[in-house]
Amino acid sequence: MRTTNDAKLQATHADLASDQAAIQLTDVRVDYGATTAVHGLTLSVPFGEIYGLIGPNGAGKTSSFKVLATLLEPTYGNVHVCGIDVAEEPEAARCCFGYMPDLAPVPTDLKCGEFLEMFVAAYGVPRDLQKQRVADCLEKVRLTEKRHTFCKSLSRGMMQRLVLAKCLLHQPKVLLLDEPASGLDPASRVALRDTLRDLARDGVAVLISSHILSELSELCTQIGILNHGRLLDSGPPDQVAKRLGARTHRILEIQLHAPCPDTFEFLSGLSHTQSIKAEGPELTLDYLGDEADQVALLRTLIERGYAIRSFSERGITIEDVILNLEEAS
Amino acid sequence: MSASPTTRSVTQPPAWQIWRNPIFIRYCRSRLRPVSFAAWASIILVFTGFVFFMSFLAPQKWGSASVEEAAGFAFVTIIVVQCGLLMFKGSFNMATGITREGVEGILDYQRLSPMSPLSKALGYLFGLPVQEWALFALTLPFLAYILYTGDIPLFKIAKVYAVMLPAVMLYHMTGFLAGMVVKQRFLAGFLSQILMVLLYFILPQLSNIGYVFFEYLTIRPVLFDELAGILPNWELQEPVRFYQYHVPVWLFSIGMQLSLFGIFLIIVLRKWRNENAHLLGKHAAVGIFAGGLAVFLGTILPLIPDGKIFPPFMRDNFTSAEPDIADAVVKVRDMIEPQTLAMPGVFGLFVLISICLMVSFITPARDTRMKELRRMRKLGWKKIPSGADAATSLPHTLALCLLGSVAWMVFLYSLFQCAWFQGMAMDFQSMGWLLCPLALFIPAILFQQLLEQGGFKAVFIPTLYGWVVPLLIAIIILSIADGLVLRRLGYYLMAVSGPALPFYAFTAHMDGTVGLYTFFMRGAFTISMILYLCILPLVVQKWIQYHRMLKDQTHHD
Repeated sequence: MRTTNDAKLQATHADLASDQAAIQLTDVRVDYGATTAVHGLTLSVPFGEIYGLIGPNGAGKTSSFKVLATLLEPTYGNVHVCGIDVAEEPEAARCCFGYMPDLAPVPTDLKCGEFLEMFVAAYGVPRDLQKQRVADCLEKVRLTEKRHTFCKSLSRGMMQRLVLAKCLLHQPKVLLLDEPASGLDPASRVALRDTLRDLARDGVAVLISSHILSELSELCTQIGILNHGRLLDSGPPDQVAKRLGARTHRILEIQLHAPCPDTFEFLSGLSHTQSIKAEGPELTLDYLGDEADQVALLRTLIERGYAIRSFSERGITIEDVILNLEEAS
Repeated sequence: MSASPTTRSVTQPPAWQIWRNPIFIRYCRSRLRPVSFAAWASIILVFTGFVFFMSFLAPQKWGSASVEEAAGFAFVTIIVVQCGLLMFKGSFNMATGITREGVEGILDYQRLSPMSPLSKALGYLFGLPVQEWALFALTLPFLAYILYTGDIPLFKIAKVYAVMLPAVMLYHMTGFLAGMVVKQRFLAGFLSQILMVLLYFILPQLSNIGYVFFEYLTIRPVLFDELAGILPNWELQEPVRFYQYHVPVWLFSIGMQLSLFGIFLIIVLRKWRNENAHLLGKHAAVGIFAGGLAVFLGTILPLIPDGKIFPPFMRDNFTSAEPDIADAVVKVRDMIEPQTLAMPGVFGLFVLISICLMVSFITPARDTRMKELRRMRKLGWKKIPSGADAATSLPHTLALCLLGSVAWMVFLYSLFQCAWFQGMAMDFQSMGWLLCPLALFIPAILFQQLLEQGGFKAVFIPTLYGWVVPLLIAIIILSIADGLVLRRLGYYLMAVSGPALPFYAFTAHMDGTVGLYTFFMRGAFTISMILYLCILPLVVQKWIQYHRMLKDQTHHD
């Protein structure tokens, strides 16, 4: 019977949610000729979780996503989505997930509504539900008013949202989103965050990647740091942050009113200073002290009569984190 | 354990309900938008109207053509317009459209959707050229008027279209394949046009030396056949002789085109399932090769008895002018002798090239083999199934060589039994039946071994310096040499080349031909065989080591 399709999908999802990981990668390796893109990656994402995979460009994120999306065969290792071995049953696995690639492409010759209508039919959603499903998905990504607009006239961020809507059409239990927030404006990022949280509440497992740490730390329930194809650390964001914090030196940026060699000498002599770089009146410190130490340092500088225009701690970039982790390991 | 999602039912229309196919609907929307379509429609209407006027109305008004003749002529011109529209424009759009989808990444979305591979392939096949089909429909009223006023029998037209439509689909499929293989949009379109010219104009020329089945990949034979009684100077085509049967031209054309379409469809479906899959499965490749040889022999063997296998200038000498074939034999024997020596060699070379082509389709790359070895271990298999892409292609290469040898020997036997050889001062040695196949087996196995161990890079250098360069040097030597020693060197050097071996194998076992020439060929063939039989065990030994090394390497992963 045609109308059983959605109900069956829902039922299967509910069954799956109860007893197995949504995404399970075990010792996955991906080689491109002599280059190893992913090296022994093992991770598990339960249903209802949002897992953030963080790493710089070339870390192996996209390769990992392609393996999960059945678009790339791993050199070895086991990959399961919703309990299905993607290497052995790729067609069955494809029903379970929605995949949004990096730089999500859209056809230039279709309108947004037509693009979604094609895929809602391709995914076998019953005809009587198709229109409503498309409308719902467009609403979720706040593109309802763009239904009759050509895809090519959308902004980069809107295209990303449209592809996200396409991923949601068949109500997948797993979402694979490769750098979904790149190109999004702040409002769209907030909307994306809200959408993903709602989906996770409904039991959907989300694997999301980014090279911006702060972008994922607020959203994800778990994060993993990937570099050179290896998973360097993983766990809940606060715990990972704690571990990172313990091993992390901070970057302090001090801007003086005018260049002052005396300041350089003074700061170099401090015990918490790992290294120091001066460019005119701007000083950049690799600083091992905590926040209290920073307060004390600022007070000392003022007391010594240095003219300080600004004193700030730079946010930790993914490059800083990875450098720190590599140093620590 | 919960229910596997593989058991879920996804509501998809059957593949044959093309009008419900989401990909087809998508292209109906994008390629039939009123503004763009109206522009094309006006161009086609104006052009077809002009063609209609010039070919149908003008000859009646200012020429001496009857309505029937004018209708026949106009029908041909409109068919040409339709073919240009569907075959050239349609195939170009097919190739560029698929490439664009691939480059933009949209093809990956389609790969991930749960539609069956057949539905996806048919969706693209009918969807991408939908604008051309619609424009084709616009030319039909002109056609209907011509048929009505010219009183052309409908069944004749139906036969032409019964051949033309599969031909169009075949060419669209060619564009589809070009689009899947080539990554640059216009290069893909260009390739599709080259393939069209190859299939439509170049390959049919091979019918002049007996390879007649290529001619039936076009609509020309059926068009000539069906309009023979309508247009002056258009001759009725003979039915196609296929073994002892006489098959109507239209039926044979449809059969040929659908067979090739089927092979292309298999390739497309395999590529849809797995982008890295071989073009053909191993068993399928052997089956297709056997089928191809059967068709080939079926069409070439009936041409031997009356000499139609030889180029047309010979044919005209003895079939039309002198119906008594025995007289004709005597008359043209001297002219035919060099061709009888070349013909089996050409056939052998054709078979050898076909084998190498098939081997290149089915031979696994190193990475494919390693992945499957790891998978084998993971799944607890004892060995890789023989039909899998990753399995060695050696057994299938041997099967291809065996089939090719049988076909070659059947052709040779038929040639020697025909009237053209009776009484000629040459004979084929019985050892030839055993040794000729070596000229297929040895180069094919060598090719397979090198390809499997090192890929196309490993084949390129030995092929260039082992086969092509000696052949070219030998040709230069033979064309300039006066002395016997140099000529002998030329013959010996040419025998090193794999593609030359079928010519040598055949000629070396002929008795009583140009004495010294046969003597050279026999010596060269013997030395070449000794050389190859020394090299082959070494290559095979390396192949065994290569497979051991792969096993060990994957075992340690």
